[in-house]
Amino acid sequence: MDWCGTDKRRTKHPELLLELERDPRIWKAGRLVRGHQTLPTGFTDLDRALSGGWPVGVLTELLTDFYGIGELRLLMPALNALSKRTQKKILLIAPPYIPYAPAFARQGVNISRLLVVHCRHQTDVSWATEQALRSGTCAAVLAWFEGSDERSLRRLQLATKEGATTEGATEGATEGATEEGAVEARGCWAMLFRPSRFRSQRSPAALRIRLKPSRGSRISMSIFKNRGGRPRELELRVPE
Amino acid sequence: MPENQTDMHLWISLYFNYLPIEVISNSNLGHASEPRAVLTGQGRGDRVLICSPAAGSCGIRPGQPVNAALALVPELELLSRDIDREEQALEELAGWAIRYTPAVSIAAPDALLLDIHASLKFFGGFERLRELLLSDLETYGYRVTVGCAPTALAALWFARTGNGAMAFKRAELPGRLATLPVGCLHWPKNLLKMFREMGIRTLGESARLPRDGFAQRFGPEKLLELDRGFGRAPEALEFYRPPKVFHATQELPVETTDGQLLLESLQRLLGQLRTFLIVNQGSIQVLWVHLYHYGTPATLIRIGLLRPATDTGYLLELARIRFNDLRFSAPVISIALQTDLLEICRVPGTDLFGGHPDDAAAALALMEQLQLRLSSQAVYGIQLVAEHRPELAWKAVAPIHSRDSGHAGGTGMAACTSRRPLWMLAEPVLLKMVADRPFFQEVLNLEGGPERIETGWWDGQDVRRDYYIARPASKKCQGMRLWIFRDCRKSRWYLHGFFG
Repeated sequence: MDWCGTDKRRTKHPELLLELERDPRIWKAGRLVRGHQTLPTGFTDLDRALSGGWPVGVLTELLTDFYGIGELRLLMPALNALSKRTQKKILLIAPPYIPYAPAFARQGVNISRLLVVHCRHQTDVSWATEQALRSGTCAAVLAWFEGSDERSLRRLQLATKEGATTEGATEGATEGATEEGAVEARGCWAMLFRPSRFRSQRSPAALRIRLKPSRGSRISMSIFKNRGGRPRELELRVPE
Repeated sequence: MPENQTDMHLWISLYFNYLPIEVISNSNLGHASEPRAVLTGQGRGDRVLICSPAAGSCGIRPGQPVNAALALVPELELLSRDIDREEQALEELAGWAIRYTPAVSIAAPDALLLDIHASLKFFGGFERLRELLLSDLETYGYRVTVGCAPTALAALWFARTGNGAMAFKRAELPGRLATLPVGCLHWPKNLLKMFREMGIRTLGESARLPRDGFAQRFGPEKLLELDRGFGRAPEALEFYRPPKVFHATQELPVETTDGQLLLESLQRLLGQLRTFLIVNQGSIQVLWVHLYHYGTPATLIRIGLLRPATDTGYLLELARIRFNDLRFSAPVISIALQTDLLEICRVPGTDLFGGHPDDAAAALALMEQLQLRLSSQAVYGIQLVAEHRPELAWKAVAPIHSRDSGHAGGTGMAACTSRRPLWMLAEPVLLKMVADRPFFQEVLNLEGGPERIETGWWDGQDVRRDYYIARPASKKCQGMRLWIFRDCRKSRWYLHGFFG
């Protein structure tokens, strides 16, 4: 079904295929139009499943009940690349534990871009996230959001869009454009961590992924909502 | 169009002949084609002030007694005049006209005067501009007659006559005006009667009357008016100034509690707001939506924005969110929008190297905002510290001062060569022991380690720990990685972090 999706038939040059796949002139029948910017994830399989990478300028939800299963390492390659080329801040809002600077630095992240925001109440979390997204001054916002309120999610989605438009990008202007550097000027990489019990709840997020622990240094992902793509089940090896 | 335009002014007058009936039908359900008439509203002996074209074709004429009109068309819809609304409509129209020229004057009760001399070139000439004006007005549901002249009053007279006569140059003005009937002056009835008795029908004839006698009979101000129209005396018009605050009301076609219907009406109002913002080059930060009910107090909704915006589409989306979980106490009969004072739009500039100078300021503002609400310790940057004790190997720094230190941030890089968890607990958590193995949610297996950290004897917070990487024994959580240590002096196990 997918001319490069099945592992057995894959060629010796997956990077080449990926590059081809990112070429905006090539349209794949299996892929619907994805109107927004993407940030390469650093994982070939995941890039392919997400048609290019993490979507920027829209809301992404990661649903998980576990910490320490590689949920951050999954984001590290993207965070790493982003932190090195942006002048803007990367916000960690209401993280469950202390983001440990030496470990982030060891992963290659430019930690001077990182900002931690602690919130005492859930309302503060959604408020702070909304402000950050709307301001358009953050390269990425990672928020740990326990709230169940669908309305605040919609506000967040709107804020993400607005933050992106204040940067001069209009959604749908460029399809799958992934030139280096282009991502940084536009939109914000908005990641929302939520408990997995919200999986059945309606959500305006463009991408929703359920994360579960797997064997070894692997993480199991179930992409169950993927606007502009199709749902997938994945298992990734996240380097330690 | 004149070839040489030496005049300083060229006025277009828009005469809203049907304004009394249009303000009523425009705000109600469309403009139906049924016969309607607005009455002069004097109680006994009511007369028809103005009637719709449908009524006109049935033989109804302005000035007819109501009974005569009803005899002609029994199903005639009689409306009473709403002067307040006419004034308001004219104000709104002036607000619209200001996009074509800054010099707009309201000639109450039913006309607008636009000095288009300076706008001709931009809009591509007189004919083009006239088309623009007329097509706009058609979409708003107004019919006008247009007059054009180098003086405002003359333009108004031409428009009131409505026969298409115009004058572009001062030299042609007296000749063109001469043929207009005196009725176009809209003077009080007794004065027009005097004209009639003197056998004077046109402006030209009135202009030939001896000036001092004219002033005596009709009053000096009337003579001045004629002089102004003919361009013999300077005109002083009061120009329309757009209000600093937007306020508009929309009556709903039906009483409703349906959010979708309300949003549609709101969308129309927001369209007006958008025009208003463009014209004023302003942006708003707070929008008030009043929902009026019959009999009960109005519902007031405040839509606040973090920073001034002009995008009304975004406002609509915000309103949609608010309307979704709004429960109305009573059906809504009308909606009003109101803004606070406008902010002047700033056009974002770029500096020499293409960066946005505003970005830094906006980032700073965000930090301030966050710190203001969440306390100043709640927002911080992180930095490395050259220290072997894991909990001291980093420190929080003020967000604004965390400059481009990059990976520098001290020489603590040595500490990072061994694996460290991305998540660290604020305080190590004492672990239970089950079957001589540390237990966190379930029994843990040790994977990596030990890494001995024994330091800090000099400041009294010395530690002596063996760190291990652990994973839960059960299959379900095998992928989880924890960072635990054994305190060598107390022989107890602690959880210190997660490999996120």
